[in-house]
Amino acid sequence: MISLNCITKSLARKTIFDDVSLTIETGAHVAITGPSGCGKTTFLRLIAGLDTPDRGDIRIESKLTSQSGRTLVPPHQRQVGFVFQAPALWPHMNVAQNILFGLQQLPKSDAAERLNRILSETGTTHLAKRMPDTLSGGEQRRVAIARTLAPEPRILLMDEPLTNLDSVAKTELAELIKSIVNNSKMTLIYVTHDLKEVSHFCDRNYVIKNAKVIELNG
Amino acid sequence: MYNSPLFWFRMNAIRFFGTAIILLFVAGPLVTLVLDTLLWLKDDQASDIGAMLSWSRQLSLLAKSVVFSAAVALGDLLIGVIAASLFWTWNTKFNRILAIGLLSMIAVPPYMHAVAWRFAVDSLNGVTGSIGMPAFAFKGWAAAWWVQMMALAPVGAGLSLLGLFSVDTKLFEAGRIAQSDLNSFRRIVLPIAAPPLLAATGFIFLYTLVDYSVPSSFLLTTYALEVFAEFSANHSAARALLISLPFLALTLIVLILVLELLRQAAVRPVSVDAAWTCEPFWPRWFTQLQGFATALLLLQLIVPIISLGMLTESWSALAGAIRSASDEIVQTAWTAALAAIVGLPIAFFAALRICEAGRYWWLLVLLPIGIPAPLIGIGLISLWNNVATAVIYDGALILVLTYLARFLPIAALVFYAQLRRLDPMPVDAARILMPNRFRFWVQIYMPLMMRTCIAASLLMFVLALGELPASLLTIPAGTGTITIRIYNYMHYGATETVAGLCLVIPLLTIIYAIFLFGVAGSWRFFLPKIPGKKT
Repeated sequence: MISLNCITKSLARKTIFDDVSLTIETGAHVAITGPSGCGKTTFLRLIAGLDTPDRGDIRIESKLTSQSGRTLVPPHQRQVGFVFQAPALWPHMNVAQNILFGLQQLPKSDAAERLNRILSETGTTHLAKRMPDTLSGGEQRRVAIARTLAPEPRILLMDEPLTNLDSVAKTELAELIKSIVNNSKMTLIYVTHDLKEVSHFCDRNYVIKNAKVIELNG
Repeated sequence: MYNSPLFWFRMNAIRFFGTAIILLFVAGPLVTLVLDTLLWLKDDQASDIGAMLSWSRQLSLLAKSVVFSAAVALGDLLIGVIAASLFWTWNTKFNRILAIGLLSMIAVPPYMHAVAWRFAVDSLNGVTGSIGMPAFAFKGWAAAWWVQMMALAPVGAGLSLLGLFSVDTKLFEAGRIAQSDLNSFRRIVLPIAAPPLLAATGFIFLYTLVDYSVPSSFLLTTYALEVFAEFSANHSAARALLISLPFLALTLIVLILVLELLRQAAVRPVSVDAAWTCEPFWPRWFTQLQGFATALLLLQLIVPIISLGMLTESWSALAGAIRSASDEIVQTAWTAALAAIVGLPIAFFAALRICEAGRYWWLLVLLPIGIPAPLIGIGLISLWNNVATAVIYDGALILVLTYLARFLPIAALVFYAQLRRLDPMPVDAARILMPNRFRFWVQIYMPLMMRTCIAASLLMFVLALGELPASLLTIPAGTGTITIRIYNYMHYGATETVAGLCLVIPLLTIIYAIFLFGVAGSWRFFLPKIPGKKT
C-alpha cells in the first residue's frame, strides 16, 4: 500500500500539490491523468524518492519513506521500478549490461537466469549485445521496460511510456505492458494523456487538477 | 539509510572537506595576500602608498592593457564567428571533431606563436630584401596584437562553434522561410547564440589581460607585467596587491558580466544532431569573408608548424634540445600531470557547489580567472612560504599548487557546463536501480562524465605546461620548467633550442592524451559483466 498524507509540493514558485492525501492499495492499477504541467511526473517522482515533498509524508507498505523535505528511504531501497518518458538507457552499456546493472546484488547464476528470462519476456533477446544508439525508438522502450522489470519491483511507475512511438510499435508495446501487468501482482501507477490507455491498463483513474488529486470513476 | 546520523555526518564531512580544499587552493592565495596587505597597512606603512602609486602612469598602462586585450578579443570574435558560420553548416560529427581540434590549439602557448611568427616575418623579410623591397618591421603593439590574436583565434573559433551549436537549427529554418539566410543568421542565430559568444570574448579578453608573455616578448609593458616587476623590485606582496587594485576592479566587473552570460548560456543542448537538409545560401561577399577567416585559421595552424620545424632544423637538434632541458621537461610533465589529475575531483566538487549554491560560489571559484597571474604567484608565496609548509614550498609541489590555483577554475567551468547539459533521466534511472553507491559512481556517473573528465584534465595539463607568469615567481630555487627555459632563451633570439623545446610541449600533450584515453578505454572493465560471456 502506498499512502500520501497531506502532501504539499511547489516547483519554481508554482504549487503543484496542495495538501494532497491519497491511498493506493497493493496490486491496484492506477492511472494518473491531467493537463501538461499539472504535476503527473512529479507525482511519480515523489513516490520513487527522486523528489521530496515540501510538507507531508509518504509511506510505502506502512514504512515512512519521505517526510517534509527529507528522503528517509533512498530510491533504490523502495522496490519501485520507473519507466521514464524517454527510454533513458545508459549509452555506454549494451542492452544486457543495462539490464544487469540492477541485478548485481544477485548471485551470478541467478542474474544470468533473470537476464535471459526478462529478455525473452520482453522480446529483446536478439538485442542483448546491441548498444542503445543502434536501437529503434520502440526497441529502446522495450529495453527500458526490461531493465525496470528485471529487479522484480513491487511498484511499477510508468510515465507516458507510449508517447512518440509509431502506431505499430505503440500497439506492440501496449500488449507487452498489459501482459506484464496482468501476470503480476505489482502495483501499477500509469501516467498518461490518453484515455484509451487508461481503460486498457487501469482499473482506477485519478486526475490532477488545481493542485489536488481527484478520483474520477470511483 | 538517509536518515541515519552517520549518513548525514559523512555527507557534511565530504562537503566541509571539499569546501576547505577549494578555499585553500583557489581562494587561499588571494585571501593571504589581502591579510598581508591589511597587516602592512596596520604597521603604519600606509604613507608609502602615495609614493608607490603613480596614478597617471598606472592608469595609462591599464588603459593600454585594456585596449590591447579588447582588440585581441574583438579580433578573435570576428574571425571566430565568421569562420564558425561556415563550419556550422557542415556535417555535425565532423563539426564536433573540428571544434575540439580548434580548441586543442590552446595547447600551444601564445609565446610559442611569438617565436614562430617572428621567424616567419624575418624569413619573409629575407625574401623581400633579396628582391629589393623594404623590410616589414614586426614590432610594437601591432605585432603583439597580431600574434596574441592569431594565437587565440582557433580558441575563438572553437568557442564560437560551440555557441552556434547551442542554437536549434529548426529555429533558423523557421526564419529562412520569411527572410534571406544571412538575415535569419543575423537576426535569429546570433542573438540566441550571443551569451556564449560574448562569454567567449570575455574569456579571451581576461586571458590576454592577465598574461604578459606575448607583449613582454616584444619588449612591451602591460599591467600584469607591472605587477610582476613591482614584486621583483620590492618583494612586498602588499605593494603588489595595492598596485593591482584598479586592475582587479576592472576584471571583477568583466568576470561578473561573463559569468552572468555563462549562466544564461550553459543550457541543455537542443537537437544538435539535426542534419542540414538544405545548406544556407550566403551572399558572395559573405562567402569570401568566411574564406578569409578560414584562411587565417589555416595560416595560424601552418605558421607555427613550419616555423618551429624549420627552426629546429633536424631530429638531432630536437634531441639535443630535449637533452639540454631534460630535468625541466621531467619536472614540468609530472607536476602538470599531478595537477591535472588531483584537480579533477576538486573541480568536479566546485562545479557541483556552483550548481547548488549559485552566485557566491561562481565568484569564489572563478575569481582567479580575473586576477593577474603574477599576483596569484605572489599570493602563493605569502600562503606557503613559512616554516610549517617548507616541505611544500621548497619542492616541486609548489608548482602543482600554482597550476591548481590558476587553472582549477577553468576545469570547474568545463564540469559545470557538462552538469547543466547532462540528461538527468539516465542518472535518475540509475538512482532507482543502483546496487550500491560505489557501483552507481563507477558504472554510471563516471562513464557519463568521462569525456568531460578527459577534456578538463587535458585542458589543465596543457595550460599548466604553458604557465609562465605565476610559476616564474614560485619556482623552487635551482629548478625550472620548460616554459621558463624557453622564456629565458627567447631573449637571445629564436634559436633551434627554443624551437625544439616549443615542440616538446605538444609532444607531452599527445602523450598525456594517450594516457587519458587509455584510462577511459579501460573503464569498461568496471561495467557489469554478462555472466558466462565476455563483454
